[in-house]
Amino acid sequence: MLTGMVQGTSIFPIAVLCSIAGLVSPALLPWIMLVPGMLACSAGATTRIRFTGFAAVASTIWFIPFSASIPLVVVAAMAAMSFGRKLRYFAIPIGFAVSAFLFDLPGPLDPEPVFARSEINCGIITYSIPEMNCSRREVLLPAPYEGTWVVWLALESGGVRDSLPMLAVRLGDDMLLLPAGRDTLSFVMAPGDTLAITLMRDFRSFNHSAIHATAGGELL
Amino acid sequence: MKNVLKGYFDSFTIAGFGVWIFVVWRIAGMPSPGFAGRVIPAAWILAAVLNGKNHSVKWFIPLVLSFTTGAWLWMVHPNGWIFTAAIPVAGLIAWALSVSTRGRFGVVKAVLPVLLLSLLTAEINGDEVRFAEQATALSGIDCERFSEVHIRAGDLSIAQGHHTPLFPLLIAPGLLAGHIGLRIIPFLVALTALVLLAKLSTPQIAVMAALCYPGFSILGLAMTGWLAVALFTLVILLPEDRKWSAVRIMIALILVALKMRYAGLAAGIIIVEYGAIQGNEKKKKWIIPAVLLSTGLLILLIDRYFLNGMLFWTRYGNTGSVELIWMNIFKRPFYTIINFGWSLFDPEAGLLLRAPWVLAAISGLFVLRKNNLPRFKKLLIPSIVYWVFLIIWTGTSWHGLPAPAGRMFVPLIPLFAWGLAAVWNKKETRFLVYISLGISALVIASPVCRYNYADGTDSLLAFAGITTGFSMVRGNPAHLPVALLLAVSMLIVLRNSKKYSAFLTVIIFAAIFFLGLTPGGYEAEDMSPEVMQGARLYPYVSDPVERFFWFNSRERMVEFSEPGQSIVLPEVRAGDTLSIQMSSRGGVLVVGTTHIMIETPLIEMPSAYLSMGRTSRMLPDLPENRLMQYFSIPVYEDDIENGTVRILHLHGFPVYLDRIDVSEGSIL
Repeated sequence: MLTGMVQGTSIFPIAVLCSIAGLVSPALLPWIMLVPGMLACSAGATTRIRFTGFAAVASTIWFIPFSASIPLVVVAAMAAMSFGRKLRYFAIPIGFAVSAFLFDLPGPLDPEPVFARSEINCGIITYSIPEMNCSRREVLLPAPYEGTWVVWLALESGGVRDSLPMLAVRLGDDMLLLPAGRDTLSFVMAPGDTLAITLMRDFRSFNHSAIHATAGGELL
Repeated sequence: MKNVLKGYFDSFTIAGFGVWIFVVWRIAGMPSPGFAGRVIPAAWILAAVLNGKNHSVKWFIPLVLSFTTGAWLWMVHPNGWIFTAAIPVAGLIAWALSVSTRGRFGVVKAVLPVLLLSLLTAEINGDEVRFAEQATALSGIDCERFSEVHIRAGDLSIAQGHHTPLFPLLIAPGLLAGHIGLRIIPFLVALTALVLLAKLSTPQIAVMAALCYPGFSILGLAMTGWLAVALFTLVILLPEDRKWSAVRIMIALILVALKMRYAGLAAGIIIVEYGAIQGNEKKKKWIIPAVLLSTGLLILLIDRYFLNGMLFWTRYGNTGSVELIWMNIFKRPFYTIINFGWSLFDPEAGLLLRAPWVLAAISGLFVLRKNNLPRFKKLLIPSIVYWVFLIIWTGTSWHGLPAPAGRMFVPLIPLFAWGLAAVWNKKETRFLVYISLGISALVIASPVCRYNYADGTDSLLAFAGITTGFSMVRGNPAHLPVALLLAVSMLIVLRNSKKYSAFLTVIIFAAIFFLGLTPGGYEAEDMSPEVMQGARLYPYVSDPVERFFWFNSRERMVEFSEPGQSIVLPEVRAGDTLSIQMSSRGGVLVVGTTHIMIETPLIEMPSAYLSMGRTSRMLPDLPENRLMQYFSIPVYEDDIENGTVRILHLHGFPVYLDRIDVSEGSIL
């Protein structure tokens, strides 16, 4: 990439933009480096641009789990080498298909659970829970620090093609496994408790696993 | 058959890409397969149908490859799938640019797929709802969704909104098709404006101006901006001949009747008209102002005595309205100048961040000034007067949020579109245009990014995980000169990058400065759910209209008023000091184990506002009128529990908190 910048190749603006984006938003850096990197490997007009792209992919690849990164590296390396132009163009679609059907797509870089936003108004608590999918797998609902609360949780999950357990709801030592569908659960939560909702499905092609949840409760 | 395949090769390729998006979306298991995963491929199929025999797929391979790679990597980041979805949308815009020059109605054909996509993803809200309610009430067309009229801030009564009735009456026929018909007339108006813009500049630039900010923000929505663009462009395109002067003046009056905000634009048009009179026609120089003045007075009198003040008097014909202008110019000149600065540079609502192509357009205006001075004046004077009038009249609410960011600058599009034509082929211009197109694509893929709430957090930046300390609600106005320096340096480089390459250093240093401006500490609006547990933001709704008339800070605050609400500060160590900015009428907070009584006085109304018909300096006892004070609290070992310090409300009146700063090791 540095070579590309110094030589003033056509990848320069992309590289500069990617670097700025990476500086201001580190979480986005791998995505934003890998996409133009792969593009440069495959569609770069000269060997120099293609190898610049390969360098960008190689420099970012260790962020991604090893098994998912193999197809990316292989495709980037193959495309960067001087095969026929048309063959290079097909490298990414073929690599994507092989990765999706035989290996796995790269998962979230930050698998840490996220917290649901909560608001208490006149003894009623409301949680705003973000959508869960393969890129955000777990959400935590902490109990308020004071009082005992009765909390209900409405779940709507789907996007899968079987009836095996899809999500887990955990409170303390208790865990409930649920298949896709609609469920409403209620719990009693004391200070220190945290309700965790976890998507249990890994990536599978033609599956769009997603969980939509709402929750609220009252002070006892 | 072979000839058909050959002739329509690009159309088949485009349709194939539509199918490819659909298939890849499903193989990759990306979210929203039912909506985004269908409408984006459908837009590409529509593009294929409209493409005909045009050759428009020069950039196709990078597009297909980057979308496929994006889909491959969508799980890497929670918003990865939206960035991936934005790639084919950006491709559609690129397609629109390439086909806009083909055929008689190339511009119309070109924008249709993106425009439909934009309309499908933009919810009907804000002024659109008010216009729809007014349209239903005025026309008597029964439209179930908008049949009940609600009162909003600034409305005179339930029956009479603060908008003039012209635009609601214009869009009313669309409601015959039900509530989805609300945007039929605005859609046609936008297309008309686009055809006119294409005549003023070029088809490509017209399409670009429509599909980039600020124009894109309300393109096809039931808002007045694009009608103003159409009228203003028409004024420019009318023959120079003096016999068309009456038409131009009539259009200026229509602009005022459309929305009072366009009075500046209308005044500019009239100024240009007046200035165009030759020097030897002194009599006419007197007659025309007299006629204009009499016409204006006549309209005002008709409005006052025959229309019950419906057009002007009941809305703006009060002394307070005029006094506001007086105050903004003479009593608060510093704030007014700052507002001019924020109107250009604020990340949430300023012109340049979402529309960097405007910088290139401005550099083009310098070129066109030499080539076509009369047209330069005809475009520049009304645009400048509009901008000045907007800021002076609306003061701190110049941005018009939370309606789509950037809509206030839509009437300036003809000026910028014309300016861009002069520099369209420059590499630097294209670079800025690509960034602008990318922003529009991202807004279509993530519709929430269309809106901002004047709370210091730009939705687009927040979406990408970027926080900035540069903002009109909380930023330091001293940063504005740096922003101005950056913009001027970029302008100079855009004019001649080889000659003025030394300015690149200034650009780099200013950019580094802005990248370093991140908000320190914990701002109330930006606290993560992990930090703010159970506490609420005050005011309880995000609409900035609620905060327009606050004399103190206009930021939202965290309210502590009942059990269970808490703030959990991570990574605080014994020996650190917390500096908390808060206000209350008398409430007790617990910070770790320390109890703090908070009682802050009411602020005094600034003397400048006393002239606004107010006789008392006393403000009502509302949270926003209490003085925010800093409280310094040292942190000891006992205050820390599991590596965190918890802040709770104990008893008394609610406590309002604006920000928390943590100073490391300051008491050791």
